[in-house]
Order: sequence, then C-alpha cells, then structure tokens
Amino acid sequence: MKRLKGQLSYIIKPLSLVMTIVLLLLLYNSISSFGTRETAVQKGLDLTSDATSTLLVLANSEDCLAYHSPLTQGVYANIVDLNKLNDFVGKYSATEPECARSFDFGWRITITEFKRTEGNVTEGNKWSFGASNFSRDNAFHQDLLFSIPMAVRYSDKLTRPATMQIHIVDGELEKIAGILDWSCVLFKNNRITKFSIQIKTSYPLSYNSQMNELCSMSKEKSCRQMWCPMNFAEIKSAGDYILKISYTDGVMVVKS
Amino acid sequence: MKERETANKKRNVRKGQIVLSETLLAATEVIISFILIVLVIQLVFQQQSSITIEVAYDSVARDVSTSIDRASAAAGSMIIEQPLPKGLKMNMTIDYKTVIVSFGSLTVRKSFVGLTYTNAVTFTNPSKLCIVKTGNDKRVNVIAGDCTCNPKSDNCNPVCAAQGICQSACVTNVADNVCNLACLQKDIAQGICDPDCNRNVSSGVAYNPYCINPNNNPDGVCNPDSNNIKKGICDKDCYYTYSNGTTGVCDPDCPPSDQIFVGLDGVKYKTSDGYCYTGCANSTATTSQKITLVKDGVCDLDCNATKNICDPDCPNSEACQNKCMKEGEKAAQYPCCEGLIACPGDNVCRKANNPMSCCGNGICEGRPGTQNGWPSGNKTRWETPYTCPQDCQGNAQRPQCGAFGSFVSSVCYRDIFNQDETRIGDKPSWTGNAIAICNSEATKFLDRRNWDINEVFKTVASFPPEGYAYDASRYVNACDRIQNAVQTISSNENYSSSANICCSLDGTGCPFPDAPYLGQKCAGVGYCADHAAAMLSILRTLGIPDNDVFMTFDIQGANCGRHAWAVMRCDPLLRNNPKLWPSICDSNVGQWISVDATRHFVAPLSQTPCVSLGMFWNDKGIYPLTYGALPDGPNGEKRGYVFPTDAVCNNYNEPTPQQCRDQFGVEHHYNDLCSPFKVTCVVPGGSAI
Repeated sequence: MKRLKGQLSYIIKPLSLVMTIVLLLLLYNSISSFGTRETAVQKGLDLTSDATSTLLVLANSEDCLAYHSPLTQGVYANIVDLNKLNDFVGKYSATEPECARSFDFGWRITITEFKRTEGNVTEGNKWSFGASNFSRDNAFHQDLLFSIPMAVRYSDKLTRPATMQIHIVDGELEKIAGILDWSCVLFKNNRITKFSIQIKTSYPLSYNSQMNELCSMSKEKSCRQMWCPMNFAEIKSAGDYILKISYTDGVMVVKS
Repeated sequence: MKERETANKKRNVRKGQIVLSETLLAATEVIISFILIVLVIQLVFQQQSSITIEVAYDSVARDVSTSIDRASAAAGSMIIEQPLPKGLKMNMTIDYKTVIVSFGSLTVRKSFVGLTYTNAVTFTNPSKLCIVKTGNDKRVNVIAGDCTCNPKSDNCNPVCAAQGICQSACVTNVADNVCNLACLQKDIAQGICDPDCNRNVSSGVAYNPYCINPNNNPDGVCNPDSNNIKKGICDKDCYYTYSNGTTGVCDPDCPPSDQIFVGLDGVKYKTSDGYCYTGCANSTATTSQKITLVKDGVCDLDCNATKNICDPDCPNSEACQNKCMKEGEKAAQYPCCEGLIACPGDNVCRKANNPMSCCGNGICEGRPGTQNGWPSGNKTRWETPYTCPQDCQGNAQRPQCGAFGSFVSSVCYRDIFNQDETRIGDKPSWTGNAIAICNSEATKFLDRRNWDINEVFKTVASFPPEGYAYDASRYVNACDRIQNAVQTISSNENYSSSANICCSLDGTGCPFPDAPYLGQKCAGVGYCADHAAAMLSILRTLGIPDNDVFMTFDIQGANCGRHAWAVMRCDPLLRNNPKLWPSICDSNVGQWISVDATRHFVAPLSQTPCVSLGMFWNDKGIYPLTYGALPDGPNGEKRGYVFPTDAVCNNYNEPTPQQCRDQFGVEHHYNDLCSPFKVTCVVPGGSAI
C-alpha cells in the first residue's frame, strides 16, 4: 500500500504542474483574445467612420460631386451635379477618385435615383464608380454597406431624389495599395525620397505593369489599379514583409 | 542476520532517496509555478497596457481624422474645436490625407478622406486642436489651441479668415496656407499679393492686380476674378489657357504688348506665336460654329489664319471679313450682316429695322411653331392675313370696334404704416388710366393673332411667355405709375427676352433677387394689374361682350398676396363665333375662366386657387353698379354684388380671409372700394358690408 502511495505521488505532482501550466496558458490566451477583439472593434469603428466621411465628402465637397452654383459661388448640402457624376463614372470606373480616397480601405459607390411616374416612385438612373475589385478569402477582413439620401441636380428646374450607397472593404490588398498610392503622391511632390513599411499578406502579390494593377493571388485573383507605375518585386508567398520603396524617373521601385 | 541488516540498510537508502526526490519535486513545482505566474502576470499586464496605450492613441488619431473629414465635407466655412485627452504625450503630424500619432516606439497612422490643400504640420503634446475650413479656398487648416481669432496676433490665424475678420498678420506676401479675403483691400492698398489667394478658382470678390508679377509671368495661375480687369500686364497663364478656341477669362491686356507691331497698312498686329487668344469673345456674336472676338485694336495673326475664329480687327480675316450675307442674299453659309435679318421662309437677308420687311416674299411667315414660322422673340414680325395679306391667304375682316365704356380706372393699394414704420394695413383707391379698348396696339396685337381668341390664349399660356414678362420694379411706388394697356401691350409685343421676370430699375428698384435687370428692355412690360388691364382691353377689342369679361383681383397663397388677372365667362351665346369661343369653353359652358397673363395660364376659375375673390370691373364700371344691382335698401341706398354669384374660386388649402386680415393686414376693403360710387357692396354668400 505504501509502495502504491509513493507511485501515485510520482504521477500527481508532475500532473499538477502540467495542469497549472495549462491553466495559465488558458488565462493568457483568454486575455490576449480580448486584445484581438478590441483591435477588431477599433477596425470596425474605423470602417464606419470612413464610410460616413467618404459619403459626406463625396456629396458635399466641391472637389467631388457637390453642385457648385455659379450664381452664389457656393455649394448646397447633398446636392450633386449630374455632369460631375457622369464624369466620375467615366473616369473612376475601377478606382476611387482622389477627392475622397481613403488609404486604409477600398470602396465602390452606387447612386440610385428615384423618379415619380404616374403617382408611383420608381428607381431611375443608376451610377457607379470606385474600386472594381476587393480583397478575397483570407485577405478579406470585413466590409460594410452604408447609404445616405441625396439629390441629383439635372438643371435649374429638375433635381431628383436619390440614395448614395458605399460598399467599403477592409482588406490586405486595400491596405497595401493604399500605402503605395500614398507614397506615390508624396514622391511626386518631392516630399520623400525613400520609404519603408511593414506589410502582412496572406497570398502572393504580383504587379501587372501593362494594366498598372497590384494583384493579390488568392484563390480568385483580385487586383487594384495603382496611381503610380511601379517596378514591383513579386512577393511569392504569404507572410510579413518590409517593403522598401523609392522613386526613380516617375516609377516607384518596391523591393521586399 | 548480516544479510538482513545489509538488506535493511539498502532499503533505508532507497527510502531516503524517495523522500529527497518528492521534496525536490514539490520545491521545483512551487518555483516553476511562481515563475510562470509572475511571467504570465507580467505578460498580461504588459500586453494590456500596450493595448490600452495603442487604443488611446488610435482613438485620438481617429477623432482628429474624423473632424478633418467633417470640416472638408462642409459646404462653406467651418470651425471645429477638438480637445485631446489630458496627460497623453505624443507627437502628432497631419500630412496628406494622414494623421500620424507617435509616442516612443509606438506609431499610429490613420488615413482620412478629404483634401486639406495645406502643408504638413506637426504638434508636440497638443491639448487642443482647432480645425478650420475656409469656404473661399476649400483649405482645411489645423492649428494648436483654441478656435479664437485675435486680430492683433502675430500669426495669421485661419479662424479669422473663416470669421471674415482681417488680421494684420495675414496682410503678407509670404505663403502661410491662409487666404484671408477680408484683407484683400488692405493687400491692394499696400500693393502686395497674398500668394495663398492667388489661384485658379474664383473667390467671388475683387481681383488683386498686384498678383501679376512681370518677373514671374507665367506663374501657373490665371485667376478667374481677373476677368475683364485691366492691370497693364498680360497674364500669360490666361493667354496660353484661353487660346485657340477656349473662351472664359478675358484679359484685356492680352495679347502681350511686346508682341505687337504696326504693319505697313497702319494696322496693329500681334506676331504669330501659335496662340490665337480667344479669351475675349463677343458673346452675342459667337455661335457654336464660330468665335467672334471683341474688337481690341490688335489683329492677332494666329486668329487671322483660322476659319472659325473671327478677329474683327483683322482686315483680311477669313472667318469674319465680309463673310456675312448682304441684303437680298441667302443666309446659307454665313449669317446676315449687321442690321439685317434672315426671313424664315426663304432665308434671305432683309432689313431688320422694318418689322414687315419679309412681307412680300410670297411666303406667309407666322408665329413660332407654324410652317415657316419665326423663331421666338419676333412677335412684331408675325405675318397673318391681317398684317401681310400679300403673303397670307384668308379672310381679314376685323370686327366692328367701338361699343366700349368710359371707365378706365384700376384698383391701387397704398400701404399704411404706424409710427414705428411697421406696416399695419393698406388703403385702396381707384386711380389711373389703365383700360384702353380698340386702340392701335390692341388692334396690332390681334392682327398678329388672326383676331382669334384661341391664338390670344396661346400667347397667354405659352412658356417661356410670348411677352407678358413680369417687371419686378413695378412694386416700387406702383401706385404712382399705373400704366395704360397700350403701353403694356406694346412693350410686351417688343419684349424679346426669354426671362419671364425682369427689372426695369436696378439697385433698390429691383426687389426680387431672381429678376435680371434688363433696363429699357423690361420697361413697360408691367406686372399683374397691368397685364390684367391689357388682357381685358384685348378681349373687349376682340369683341367679347362687356358682361362676359372683367378684371379682378384676389388674395391668395400662404402669405396672402394680392394678384390681379382677367376673368371671362364661357357665354353660350359666343359659341356660334369660333373666333370668340376658346376651346377651353367646350367643357366649361356657362362657367367663368381665369385668363392669367402673368402666371401664363387659362383655366376654370373654380380651379384657380385663392383665399377670396375681390371685385369685378371693366370699361363699363364696377360690377356692383352695372351687373350686380340688387333692389334698393330700406333707406333707398344702392346695393349690388361685388362679383357674380356663380363666380367661385378654389379656396381649398388656402388661409382664411380672417387669417389674412389678422396676420398680414390684407383684405379686400370692399366698403372703401364701393364708397366712391355710393353703393353698398354685397359679397355673394355673405352679407352687405
């Protein structure tokens, strides 16, 4: 019996040690997952805030779609100019206009007007512009659909009610393309001569110089149009990288 | 025995060894557990602390970027005071679309959406930020501290610019990201140009001529506010931008004086440099096919070579020299020369000053919309069997005219003010010489419309109107200038603008912001009471019997405004004469219709919104005396209805007469209107007043 007791203590002691370690690991894991959730909430806040700001800037800024009255030399809240709208649809079919570009996220806008025919309110013309592709699969983090009421001004006598909806996406491709486009503007303005940034990618990254597109090679490839032509060293596997960026003769040189 | 002792010793040794191992194990366990607990707690606290710090800085960056976006999305100027959490040490940089917050090795970068048009700024441990958008230049400035404007401060503060206060520190020729338009006059007085205000967009205020620097020309800026302003130097940015067909900003100093020489023919020329300056185009002579420049005394040789830019200073300009068609020629390839007009039927140029110059070409050229009809704005040229029997077939027999009465007055209201100069009501009177029947202008008007009531109503209802614009200046002392129908008809027949409201007086004489000042062009077109008198005169001249057409006025709309127009009854007796029977009467036999020349409609009176009707009258006098007579009252006084008992307007959704009286001091004053005629007026459905 004594012999058995001795043998039991040999088992229980290490077991209790292992249990303690496991419990501590669980505690650590639970606390660190709280931190991850906190970060996700912050990202969600950023996304909502950017969605609201983008819609407001698009609808109210003279640089974007706001109708500028030559008579009053001013703009009217949430009334957009049909000519500017048509211009945006043509110019920004695959990328966001600079006037409302966010370098953290990607977005696409859809404007749907309403018209009254025979007493019924029906959908009228639709316009769409902004990024045509977003991060997919593991590179996709979250997205949001958000809309505001506004009006499309056709002429002095005709203004139609409409809604402006934004599909805003938080993803790896948007973040990486954003930082590269931001650097592009600073390079062009001679603000910086070189720049480095840490990125995380879940898929290989390649650059299509003919289309000036940066592509994330997820199961279904997704690409974004870039602001500057690049000499981009392909990233062949997922992981964390430090991108070293410089600018020569109007071309951004990106090495990892 | 020895063997047993040896065995016991061995057992004891093993037993001791076991005790030692368990103690060691327990001690090791305690130590490891302690270390692990310490490590885990340290890790947890460290991580939590770094998360908290990161979240705090992240929130600060988000708050600032959101405020910048709110400011940049504002339609005008905006000032946002943004307090930051106390005790948070940081360096904050606001750069192109980015807020960067850093503390030690921690850096948080947050992108914002709007454009700020300002240079990067960095703040160290800011406690409060002031985010200012100045509407005039769309700039969003971020400064540290409160959003207050101290005009005596040494730093040019964007808050002052947003508040329209000129701060002397902003009167500078050094770029500081702030364009304070309130300082523009001081800039000009001191002969300096604020580079922040020198830009390619209009600020809607005066232009600063000191922004043209002869030593830095071109400088990349052609300010639209410089349009038509002479400053002695040709702005080469405007010269290059608005050339070779681009119109917009006219710099009267262009082309550059150093490129001008005098030719052997005595004409001033500009040497050819590839830029035909088209900024100063003559807007009335320019068409979609050809730009005609303003005469500036210099022939631009670059324009001279073009086929679609006419420089009137060039004696041999292919685009404009003698390239207009002379009298008798067809305006096919080129338009008619000045003083001529192309007749719509044969396109031949004839004298413009004779309204009937096209009469005799064998083609009946009538109102717009008819075959060979004139474009709008040429009413005096319309050809009918009455105005041009040579070209227009048809019976041109005018009806007998002359059985009209002698009453010509119209109702006029003068405002009454109390001692505080507050309007407390008004007092009406019968004044002026308004009605004019069978006169030459009414006859000409009807000649152009075939003496056909349907054509008359077409003029009333067309939009843009065939005349019958609204002279907003008539509201200024209207009572003193009651005008005759002859003047109203004539002025509206000669009115060629498409604006349906205009001003004949400018400045304070033009009380409505949406009325363009057209001066003499607008003079005489009148307002509603004039239009009503003109329409009554026309319809009576046409032959509508005196008991079927009247002038009237009402109170209408949420603000209880007065409005005058003509009313006509669809008298079944008129049905036999198609020229006196408007098609609207087909479905309104026996009913009253409104003929509103000011608001350009003809509609049943029962569908015409109004609070209540005023009085009816025409050339035979006021309705109560001529048609509304009732048996004399008990004391022998004359009595009559103010308008026919079957005349009813639509008062659905309108305020009540009582509300108009109490809230706006507006009422008909039937008693005042009837008293000069010594008649007691009775409102149909109401009682004697």
